[in-house]
Amino acid sequence: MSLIAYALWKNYDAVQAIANVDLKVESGEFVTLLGPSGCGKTTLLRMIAGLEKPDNGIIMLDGEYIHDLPANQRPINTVFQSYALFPHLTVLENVAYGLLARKFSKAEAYERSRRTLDMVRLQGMETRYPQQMSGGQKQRVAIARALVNEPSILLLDEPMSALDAKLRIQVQIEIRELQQKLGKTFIMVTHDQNEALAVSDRIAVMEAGCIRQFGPAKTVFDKPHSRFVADFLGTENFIEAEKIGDHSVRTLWGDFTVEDPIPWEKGTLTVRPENMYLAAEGITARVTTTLYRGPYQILILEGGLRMQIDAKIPVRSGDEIHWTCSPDSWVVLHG
Amino acid sequence: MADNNNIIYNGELVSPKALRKRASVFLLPGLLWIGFFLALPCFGLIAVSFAERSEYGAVDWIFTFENMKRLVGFDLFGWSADNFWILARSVMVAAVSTGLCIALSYPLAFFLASRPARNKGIWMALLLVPFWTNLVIRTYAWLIVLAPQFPPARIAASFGWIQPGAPLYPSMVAVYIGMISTFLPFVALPLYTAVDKLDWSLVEASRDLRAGFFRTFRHAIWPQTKAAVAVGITLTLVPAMGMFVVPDMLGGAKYMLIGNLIQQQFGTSRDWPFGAALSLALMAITLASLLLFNRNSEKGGAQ
Repeated sequence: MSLIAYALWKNYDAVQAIANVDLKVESGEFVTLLGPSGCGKTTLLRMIAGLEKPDNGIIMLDGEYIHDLPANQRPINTVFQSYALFPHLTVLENVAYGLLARKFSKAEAYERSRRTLDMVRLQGMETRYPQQMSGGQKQRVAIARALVNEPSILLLDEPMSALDAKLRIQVQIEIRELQQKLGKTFIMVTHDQNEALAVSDRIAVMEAGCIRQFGPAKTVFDKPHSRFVADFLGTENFIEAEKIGDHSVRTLWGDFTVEDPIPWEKGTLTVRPENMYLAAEGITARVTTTLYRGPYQILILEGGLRMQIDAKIPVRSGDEIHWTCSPDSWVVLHG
Repeated sequence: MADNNNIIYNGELVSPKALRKRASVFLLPGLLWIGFFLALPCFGLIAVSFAERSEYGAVDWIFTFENMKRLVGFDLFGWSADNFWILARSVMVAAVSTGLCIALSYPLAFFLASRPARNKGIWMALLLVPFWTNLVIRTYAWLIVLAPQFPPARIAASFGWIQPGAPLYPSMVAVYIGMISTFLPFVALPLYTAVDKLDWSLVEASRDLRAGFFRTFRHAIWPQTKAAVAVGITLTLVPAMGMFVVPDMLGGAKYMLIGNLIQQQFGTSRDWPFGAALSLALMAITLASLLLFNRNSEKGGAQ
């Protein structure tokens, strides 16, 4: 089900949480709101859920205005960050909660809840209490409790923040598989770029209450628009440059050809360390430090550039190397 | 074999016997206190309740069941239900006051908890200052507030609920007002501490799952606050059963409660033996209701 948020604003006293945000999420899409803490991503999610009221703007679900509806009248369910399971109810009662609130018969509600628990592989755990379960199991209860209501959109608020690193990868796979199997619209909030890249169709990178870039995961990663987005997605090489031709720039390192159009006279370029490679015909640079990372190594070059090469290549600090990169791996930042 | 029963306590191995011995030393001051100030007076009360009143109001140590008979309603003129009604009314007034205190405390606790930190102190003071005032003075203040020339009585008169120019006391309403103003902090403060620590994500989850007000209250708020309500009930119900200042000043003779009756026996009537018997009855009822309440709340807690 498609969701449209348009011109959303939200202030808390003097703090601007959301400033003029537009967002359009297509049916069946997995969209992630990615950003550092305090960027407004959770506020935006809560406004979609109905737990927070926008000061201004509209939210539409399938052509219906929903921004004035309270949370308990929206066909949207949330998986909360701390799961928020009711501790005095069993797993089955927790999952059936939403159906019972909607006046389903007990038999029907429990039957559907059992089926949903099977789907998240929690069969046989119906009579347990949340405090008797592990973090990963609790999370699956929370997902089942939301999905059993067959919401138009499932919201996930930092769903993996309470899990340890190893479990996270597993859960990423499960959530992605679940979303594709159900074909449902998922909107997730996270501050972890790897998590966002792993599961999302599209990523909205947020900063200071605004969406800085919204696009397919690959585009956001490969072609960040701005320095903030590039920085947040782990780019480290920022190079000041001057335009000398339609597709060529001059930098402190030398002249380069770039594939993308250059919208400025003076600006910033970036290239990922893994897209740089050693070449006899390349730019000469001295290695100041090498960092061994197992399968690869990072060379820190004089002037601060980092490049990633195979760990087997024998390079030591102090060595002089020659590097280059292909025109399409340069990213021209707009701001 | 006895050695096998030894337990590790604070990093040393001790026999249960030695531990018990040590514990009893620590318990002694408390036990002495309870013995002197609780058990002894209670035994005294029991003893006096089976004694006889002498002609001039002293206690004659002659064993008699007379006070117990009067307690259940038999006197010179046969059986009367007066004592029974006084007792029933006392239980009802205490229970209703406690219930009203709880009902009022919920919005009050949420209000206090939602105040910004900078003026929370003022709101807390407004709740606590009357609580620190002497009970008699506070009750006198209500006599003034409920007097004929002040707005509450005038408004009531304009609706025709009371005669124009009449005060709002003595009446049951005045008694409840007095009782609530006395006991509200005992419920509101524990409830406030619970509401202040409330995990709101459960409330939000409940709303998110389409629950209305009552379902949300029952599953998200009540489980988190019922312990505080239990404390409030214990702190309110017991003193409310024995309350005599408020019903005496605001209720008059028509709304006599067991507290007034007991006070009368030890005061004007100078009938200590009957007063002692009434006190025992009150104690028994209070204990019974607390036991009943505890058992119910334990049952509720297990769910």
